[in-house]
Amino acid sequence: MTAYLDWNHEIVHAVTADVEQGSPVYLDVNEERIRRIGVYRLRHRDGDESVDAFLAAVRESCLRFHRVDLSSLLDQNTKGPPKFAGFLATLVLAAYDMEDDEVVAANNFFFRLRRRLGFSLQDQGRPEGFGQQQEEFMWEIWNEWVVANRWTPTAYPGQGATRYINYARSQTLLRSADRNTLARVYRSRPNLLAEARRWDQSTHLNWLARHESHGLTANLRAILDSPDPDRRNALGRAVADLVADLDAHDTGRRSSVAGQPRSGLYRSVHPLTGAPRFLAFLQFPADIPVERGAVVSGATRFSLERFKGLWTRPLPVPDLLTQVHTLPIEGLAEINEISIPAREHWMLVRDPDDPLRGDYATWRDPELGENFVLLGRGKCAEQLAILKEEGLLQWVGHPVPVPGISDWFEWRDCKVLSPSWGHINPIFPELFDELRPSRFAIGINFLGGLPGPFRSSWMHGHPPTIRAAVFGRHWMRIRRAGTKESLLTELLVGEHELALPSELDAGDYLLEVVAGDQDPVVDGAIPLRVRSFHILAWETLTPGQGDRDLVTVGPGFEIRGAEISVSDRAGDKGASR
Amino acid sequence: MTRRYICIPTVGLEKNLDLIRSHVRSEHLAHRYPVVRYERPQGGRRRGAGEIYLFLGVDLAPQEGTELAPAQDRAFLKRLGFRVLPNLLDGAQIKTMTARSEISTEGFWFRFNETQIPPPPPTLEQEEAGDNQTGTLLDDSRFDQLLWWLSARGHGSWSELVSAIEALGLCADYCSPAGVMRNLVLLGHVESRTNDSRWSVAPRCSVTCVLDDEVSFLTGARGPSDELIVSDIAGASRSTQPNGAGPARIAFPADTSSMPDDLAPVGRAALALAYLMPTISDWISRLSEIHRPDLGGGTLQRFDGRTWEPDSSVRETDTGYDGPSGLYRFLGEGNRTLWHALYDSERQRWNRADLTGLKFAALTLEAHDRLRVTLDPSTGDLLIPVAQRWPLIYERALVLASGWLPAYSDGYLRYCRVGELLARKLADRLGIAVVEATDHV
Repeated sequence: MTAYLDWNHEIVHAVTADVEQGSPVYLDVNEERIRRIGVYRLRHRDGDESVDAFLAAVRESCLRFHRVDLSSLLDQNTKGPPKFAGFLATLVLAAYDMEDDEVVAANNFFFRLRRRLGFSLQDQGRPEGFGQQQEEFMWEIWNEWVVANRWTPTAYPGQGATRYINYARSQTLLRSADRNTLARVYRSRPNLLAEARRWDQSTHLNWLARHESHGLTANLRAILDSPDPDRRNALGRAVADLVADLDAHDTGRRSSVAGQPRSGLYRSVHPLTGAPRFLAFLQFPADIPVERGAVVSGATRFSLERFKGLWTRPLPVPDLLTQVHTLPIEGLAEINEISIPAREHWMLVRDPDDPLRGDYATWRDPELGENFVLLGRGKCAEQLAILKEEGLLQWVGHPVPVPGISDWFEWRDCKVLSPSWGHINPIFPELFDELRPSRFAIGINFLGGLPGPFRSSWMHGHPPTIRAAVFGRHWMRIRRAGTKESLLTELLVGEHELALPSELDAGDYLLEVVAGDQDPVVDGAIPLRVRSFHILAWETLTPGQGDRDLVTVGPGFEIRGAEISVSDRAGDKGASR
Repeated sequence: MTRRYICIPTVGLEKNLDLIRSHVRSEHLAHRYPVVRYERPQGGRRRGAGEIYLFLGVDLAPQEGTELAPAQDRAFLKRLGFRVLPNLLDGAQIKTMTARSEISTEGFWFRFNETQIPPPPPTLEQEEAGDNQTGTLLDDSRFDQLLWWLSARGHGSWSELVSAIEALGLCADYCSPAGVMRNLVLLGHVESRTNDSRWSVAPRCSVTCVLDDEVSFLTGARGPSDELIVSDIAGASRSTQPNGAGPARIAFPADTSSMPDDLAPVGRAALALAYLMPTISDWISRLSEIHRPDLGGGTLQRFDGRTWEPDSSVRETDTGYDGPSGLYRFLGEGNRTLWHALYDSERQRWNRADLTGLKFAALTLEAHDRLRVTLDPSTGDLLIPVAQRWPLIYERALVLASGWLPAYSDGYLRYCRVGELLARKLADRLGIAVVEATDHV
């Protein structure tokens, strides 16, 4: 049991550690992840041994007398993650084994599950002792735990014969066949792997969609076409991690234990002049102790410091827009360099947690219906002009030259207006692909209200307004997590704003968008997109920690509120008032 | 709902697509006709005279037939000058002819709207301290909520704070976000920083009153559970600030043994602060400065002791600036104030601080002998003319004397229970006179 609980803990950590609050959690377990956990976290000698050890631990704890017996894992009397997460991971591992062209049928899935659990393959169907209701109950509890811990759940049932197995299938991003296909694609051209190792997730997705869509598996194509940008982004991250692993394997480089750092761009404005300034914006996995590290750019060494979520405080790297940067990292055992690609264009959105602040960054891709800043070289202008002329894209005013950086411009307050891009011949394909929305895209933004102390939370009495944008017709429904009854159902056509009622009770909620041709009230309508949000009771607030460096400084002393201390701090005279 | 397609033989693609799209949009019919598809050229061959097929997608209600084009749709298309084929088609039937050609009519429903996020309201540095002088008693429970919220967040940006103040409706009544922030700083709940407009909640402290040393009050971070202090500790009290302009004052006997463990006792912080404070000239010399501000592209105004007047006496030179010392502000596009600064012509420095403090500093430079404060010896209250309000750090010492914000009284700010020792010490640092109430008319 101890071994199983260790695996349970490590698997939950692996799938949640790098997920920001409010973002979706996928119990995306595959053999590579099991190997990585075994070798790096549980000190196994090699990866293959780890897969066997994991399955042995599951069998030992979840099977009794050749039957599934989860009774010891279902008595959840602690606040930690469900003890059966490791067993659910085994279901996902069975879904990971499914071939791409395989008929999606319960028998195919259960054949693989039986094999993983060591059941007789002479029999078919569900492993003995493993009932449908029990399976669904565990996934529902898992989802509730995900929401209660401030993430968005992603495990949903299917319809008809795939109702139960879809829970596990919905968790797999890269299945075995997908990984093999991607490995073949990225190794098919000389130097592609080395080049692609420096791409960000959206570059991977756009490149795959443009160049390789016919050679991809059905699962990959389905996610690329998904209306859910969260799922696309999760796929992009998984592909980027896979490419880094492939490159590490082929070059003998040591792959990162904790995952890959990512780079982006941060745009702040001078408070007095309003002139924009561009900074390197780096993101490191949660397990990396970034405070020990520093990025070196030329003769300058920038200490790393967590800023928001996984992002670190933006760094003023010279010539950021115009040169490729591969910057050495000192002090971190796990990572020794980070690449910042020299892109021809960037799309920047406001801080989702602080939209009134004038700063923009690559926090995420713009949601459908959301305004953004497009920063690009002059060569973007012709393509953008065509899109504007066709009524597909709009922006405010004229492109604004970036001060001090030749041939770079900002198109401010850009917004995609239509999905009808099929008749346009792209003249700048990379830009075109990045701007082009999925025909099935669904944009969800939360505006206003009084945000709580963590992302996707609001204070009781001050809930947000939901701004949804869809191409086509969809239903939006809102329900409390752990219940099936919809509190609110709205038809979405085009852009839609819904102010949540101020009397909405404190609790965890799910906002789900389902297809317009489905009945949103009927249980079983599969959501195309899900966002969780939380209404917090005032009584739950507890004082947190302030910023110890934010003090008022006087001659020989400093003061924080009413706490006065002797100080020889002379530097920040600006604080002395 | 079932989707079928009406086949429209026509000549010319773009003009006919535009025609359909514009009518669908103007007549709000996109729910009925969500898409248009069109025939793709097949190996360069088309029917005679350049004819192609457009396929208008129709979402049929359950009671409508799926075989023939409904009369209302035929009428709509006839009105636009189109001829239609009688039979409806399903997606599979036109799939090969129209691959990747779908155009949404609904997409054109998206409105373009500039974000139009207004510039953030003035900060402490940009706005003079104002206050509720109407005598309206505000609902201070919202200030309590704001303090709980700030405490839970820990620290953040000015824009986050503004959003919270506005969401709680605190601005609607009388005070700007800067005014709310000033009161929180005065009460020792929050620290703010001028150069990057950030705030942080202050440590939780119990402060002893200057004149009533058997009474302490709470400062710093606070949560809803602190309300229990009032019910759990004998002699504790919860009182509304003057005009309800801040979080409630929670006071308790200084010698109580049942205070929360995380409260740091800091004694008579106001007196300690007064003894550490610099003189006003030292304070000015320690202010941060705006380095070589560009005076072009905007308007410079000088504060004459009462109002702001356009100024052309200060000019940029090769080595610095030429012009008289004084308090200036610089207005940019749309007459928006970009900065205030106290200009020191001798040192060629443009000093920054809270605007109230800068005005006081300007007064000490120009009308030093007119500055005075009044002490009521019977109560220990201190009265300061509203127009001579002190810089924030000096005023904080006055408020921390008792835990009470000042109350307005006939053009004066009345600081409760300050006492002679503290009043004279601070006035001495500021170089101004203290008169007793009996001497004052």
